[in-house]
Amino acid sequence: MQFFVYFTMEEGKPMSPPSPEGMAKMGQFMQESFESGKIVATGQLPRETTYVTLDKGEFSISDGPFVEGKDIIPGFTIIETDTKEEAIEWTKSLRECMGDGVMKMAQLRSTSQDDLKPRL
Amino acid sequence: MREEISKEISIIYNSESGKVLASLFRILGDFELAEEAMHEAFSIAIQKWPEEGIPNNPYSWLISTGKFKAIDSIRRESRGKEIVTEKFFPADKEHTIEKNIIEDDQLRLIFYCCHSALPLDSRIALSLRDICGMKTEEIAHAYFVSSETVKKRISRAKALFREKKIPYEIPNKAELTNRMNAVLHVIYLIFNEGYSASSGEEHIRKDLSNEAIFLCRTLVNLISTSESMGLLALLLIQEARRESRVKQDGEVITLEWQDRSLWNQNFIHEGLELLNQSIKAGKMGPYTIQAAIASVHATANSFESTRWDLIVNYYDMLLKINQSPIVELNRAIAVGQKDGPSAGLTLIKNLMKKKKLTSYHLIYSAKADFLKKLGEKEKAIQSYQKALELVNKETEKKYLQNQLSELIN
Repeated sequence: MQFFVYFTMEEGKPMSPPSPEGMAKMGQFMQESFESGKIVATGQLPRETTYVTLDKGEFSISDGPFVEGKDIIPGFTIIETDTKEEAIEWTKSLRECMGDGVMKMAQLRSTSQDDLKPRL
Repeated sequence: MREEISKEISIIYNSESGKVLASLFRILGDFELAEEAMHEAFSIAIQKWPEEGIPNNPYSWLISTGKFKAIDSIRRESRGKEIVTEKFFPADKEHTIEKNIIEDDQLRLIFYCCHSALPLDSRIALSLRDICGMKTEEIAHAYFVSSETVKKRISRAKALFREKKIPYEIPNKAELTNRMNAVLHVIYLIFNEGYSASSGEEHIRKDLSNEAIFLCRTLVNLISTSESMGLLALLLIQEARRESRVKQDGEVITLEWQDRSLWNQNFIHEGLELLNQSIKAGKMGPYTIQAAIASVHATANSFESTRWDLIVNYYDMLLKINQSPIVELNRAIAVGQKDGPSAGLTLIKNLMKKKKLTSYHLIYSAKADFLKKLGEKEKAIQSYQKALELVNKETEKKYLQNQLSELIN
């Protein structure tokens, strides 16, 4: 099973980087996750979004409106686990490294014939 | 007015010449031709802009001017070069070059200038001149060599481009990591050159560090990999400490005695953000780990309250990737802070037994520091003296002499 694990910015709250201890824990944790093959991909969604709009047969391409505040995804990870519980445990560990806050997790469901395995 | 415009042009030169060169290179398919065209375009700008005003999009103006100049000169000299212009750069689209095309141009130029087939000093000279827009004389000045030397380094690169037919391209996925490492290495070296304290030349050196940060920022905007972000984080956190590292007379101040209130918190904060992203983005590479070490120092309130345990852990990670005696020495110093001077001293003695770093002054000065803390005055004096015999840099010499005379008196 693959899960999309991410967090969003909280409105009005600037993101402060974790403590040196948190970062060290996170480094260790991510290292292990990469080595065990649990991480499929990591990335971030930039603020800039391109809109491809079809209106009465006419396409228009525009940059923006830019994603704001609570919709920004500063970082995401796609993980592969055998069970949902395992994915929750992984997500808890990552959140612990970052300190208090919400972490969101959604299972990626395959809609194509082959199992969905996005490898970026 | 005229003066203002020429000031404006020189600002545009600094920020845009790399981009203009990058695009002209793609359009003309020849590096030297592109260079000539870029310089031509700027000299025409110097003549025309004071009268006609600065065009709305100076970048496009410079490119089309450069392009037409190059075509002219090819026709005049009938070099018989095949012009690929129309294929890559349809005439009617020249004012709406897409952002991603510009970015690709810039990336290609960065990979080209930092190609590992070139000697390191050529890569550095080329990157500073053609990406950062530094003048040959400025580079010479910053590296304490003659302009002739810099020119030689650049022409050596150009000869190699021709000889080895180095392609002007963005490397494919299989090559990307290696090619990226070559680029990161160049940036790292430029920064270090600018960061090494040297009295009286501080402002020049600072320029070099700023150029390295500029180059790294450009790279991160184009490709943000774990290590490119890690390197930028490292550079910013190091740069944040610049003002606290040297006394007025040029003597170095070691981390222990630096005035932490002088550290630039904006740089530190930006560095921490980047480091945070870098850690989450991939396996921690050497630059990210070094940035992590720097971040522990940057967030500590004092030397004593530094989390030396974290630092030792990071050095362990670094040693797994890079078995370098210098890393071992730094780890020994951190262990000495964490577990006491005798623990540090044992590790340093082990290194020396293995005949590692025996002509490196810092191993003797680290040894002397530990001996001093353990009250072994005579041995400490000997070790400082040995360090003094080996040290080259005036600023460090001063520091060691002061340590020594403190002990003797």
